[in-house]
Amino acid sequence: MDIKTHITSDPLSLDHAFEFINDERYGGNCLFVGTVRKVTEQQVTEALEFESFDAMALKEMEKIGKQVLAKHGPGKCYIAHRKGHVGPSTIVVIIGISTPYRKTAFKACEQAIDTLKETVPIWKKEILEDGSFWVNAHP
Amino acid sequence: MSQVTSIKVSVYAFGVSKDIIGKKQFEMSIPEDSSVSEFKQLIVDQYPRFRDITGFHIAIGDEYARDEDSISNDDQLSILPPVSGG
Repeated sequence: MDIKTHITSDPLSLDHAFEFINDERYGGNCLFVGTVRKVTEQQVTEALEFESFDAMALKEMEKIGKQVLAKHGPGKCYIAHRKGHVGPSTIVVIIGISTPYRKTAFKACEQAIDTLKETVPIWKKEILEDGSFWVNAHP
Repeated sequence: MSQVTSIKVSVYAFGVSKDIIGKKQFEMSIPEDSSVSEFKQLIVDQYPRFRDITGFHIAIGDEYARDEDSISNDDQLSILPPVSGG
């Protein structure tokens, strides 16, 4: 299998991602790691709360893996997302791509995270010092 | 005179839609042969606060549905507000 997807309430592991994509056929490895940012403009984030429609989210992540490897492969693709309540600097998403050379790995990695943010049914609630809101929910 | 029969669907609400509706899951009776866009209209009519959000999609089972798709008895429908993973 060239694609692995994962959604969990447990901490994500960069080692797992790299172990999966590391392959003697591919010399370009690209890892994108998204973490919780504490300050956005003037706003201080205490925590994020991620909710996922797991069955559908895994299916959509698998589709992303197939799309990016069809376009930029051959290669391997690892996509993992955290759910639940997480504080600043926690890893919330990992995209790992390996392809024969670096350029296709970078491109595939960018396409995968961009598409994840558009299609994968996962929702983020910002918990602030004085309230909370669902990200992207309101115009 | 034709009689409108209804079908029963199971509805799951995620993210902000769960807050608007006040629950995660519920059953709903809708007219037979409803399309996804008609179902969305029913949701907005029943919960007007949906007019305040950016929009929402519907999934039938675990696939995005198109507005013109038709809904069958016992379908599992999910209300998907704009996603914000990553």
